[in-house]
Amino acid sequence: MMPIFMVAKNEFSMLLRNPIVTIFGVLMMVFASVYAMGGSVTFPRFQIGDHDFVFFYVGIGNFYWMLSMFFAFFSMCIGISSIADERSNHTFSVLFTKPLYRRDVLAGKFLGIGIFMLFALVLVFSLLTSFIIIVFGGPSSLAELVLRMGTFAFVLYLSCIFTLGLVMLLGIIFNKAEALVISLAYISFEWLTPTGLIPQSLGDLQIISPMILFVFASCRPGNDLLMTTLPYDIWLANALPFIVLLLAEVVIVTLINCMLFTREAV
Amino acid sequence: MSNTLMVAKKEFLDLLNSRLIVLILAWYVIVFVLLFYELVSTDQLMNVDNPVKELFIRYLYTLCYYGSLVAVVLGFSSMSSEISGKALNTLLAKPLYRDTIIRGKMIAAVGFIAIIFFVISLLYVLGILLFIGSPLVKLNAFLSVLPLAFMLYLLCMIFYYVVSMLALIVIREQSLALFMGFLFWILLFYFIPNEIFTGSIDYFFGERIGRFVGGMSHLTMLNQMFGYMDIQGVLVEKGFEVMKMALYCFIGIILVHIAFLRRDVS
Repeated sequence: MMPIFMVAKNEFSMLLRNPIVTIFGVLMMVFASVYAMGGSVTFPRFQIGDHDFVFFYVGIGNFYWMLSMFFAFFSMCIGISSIADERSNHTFSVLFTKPLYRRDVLAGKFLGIGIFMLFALVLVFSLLTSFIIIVFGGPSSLAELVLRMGTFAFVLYLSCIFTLGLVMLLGIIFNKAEALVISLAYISFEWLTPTGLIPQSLGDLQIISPMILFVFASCRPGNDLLMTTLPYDIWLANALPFIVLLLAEVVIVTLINCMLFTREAV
Repeated sequence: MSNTLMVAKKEFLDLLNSRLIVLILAWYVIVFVLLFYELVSTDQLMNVDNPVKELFIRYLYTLCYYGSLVAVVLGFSSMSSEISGKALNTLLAKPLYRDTIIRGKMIAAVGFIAIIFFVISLLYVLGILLFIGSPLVKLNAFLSVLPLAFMLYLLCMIFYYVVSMLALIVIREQSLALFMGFLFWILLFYFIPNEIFTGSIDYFFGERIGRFVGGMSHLTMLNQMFGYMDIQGVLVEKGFEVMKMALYCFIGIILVHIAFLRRDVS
């Protein structure tokens, strides 16, 4: 097996045993249950649109932002524990005595966490969607559900992977406490600021923000993935530039990480 | 000088000498600049009846919402470097009571928090002098609300500082402790007051339970006090909310004492 995949496999199995993941899973379970209980009362009361519209736009759309924020936060915590924690614990020193290239270590970690994030996203999305189906009934087309939810999960996944890459980068450049403050500043400015300070201040340059790219790609007014009246192919044509840009940002941050990690004395 | 004050002095100097203070101050300055830029550029202060009140709400929000995130980092960094660097073991070998160490750390944190409060308040005073018309009247009005701001800020900061510290004492794994500290912040500032969560409880279990759960959040407590401009008014009208915040701090401090006295920190 290639070294990069061995590191990825090790990282993945370490994450499975990580208590953070368990706690996050419990939190998601509580959120999904409470949301479904509330939904069982509120969803049938909606008089706007047909059943599919309420299912996607209200049922899924309501948890869109909170779930995205939770996953951004989750990515940050995993990223910190992956690089900054291992640097401060000197675990890397042990790893570097092995016959491995440094870039393989970093790329392997990134790959392992990336696959894990995808796994977690699919699981949480399936859980929430199943709960909504149980309390409100599913949409008329299963293919539409899988397509739209799969795309939503993929765009959110790209956004999470960017956050992960950025936090890893900060873990390479700074010590743990400093990386922590800056990562936290990033998460709070991007996801937790109710007034959206950064985008407003940046004007047209807001497009460089990965969170804005994620929002523009998934649920931009007029091109909303969860609006069933909008055909999927039209949504995709409009959202593709933002998705490509988000992907490009992920690639750039990963390359910078590999470059810095290869050169830096750990 | 008593042992508590000696520990406090050492802790305070450590905080002032670390690069963390530069990052924390930079964090507050960025938040201040963005908020003030938004206020001034959109003429929000000119179009309201009471601009000082509007400014005070923003100021208090900056202090408590973003400040409590800083408190999580402070609590974490105050223990993590000493646990991983084994400095705490050396300190525990000295003829000191364990609670002396905790008290010393808390006194230092309060001093540090007070300095941050002073710097942020100074920034706002400068902002008023530079950007808002007839500054002296408004400046006096703003200065008169500072004691209330300090009280609420301190109650928020101490709680999150203590929670973060407690997590690190109880949980040996540092990344998990950090995750728990942030999770508490997200739960109490973001998750619980969110309409999706509290609204769902409201609809399913009834309004009383929904209000009770929502009332556990710091953001809900602060929101109820935002309309008041003096300590007496808040204590008379919203004394219960202040008591709740004080109770959170008290419970946190007691728990951190118990945990530190009983837990093996090596």
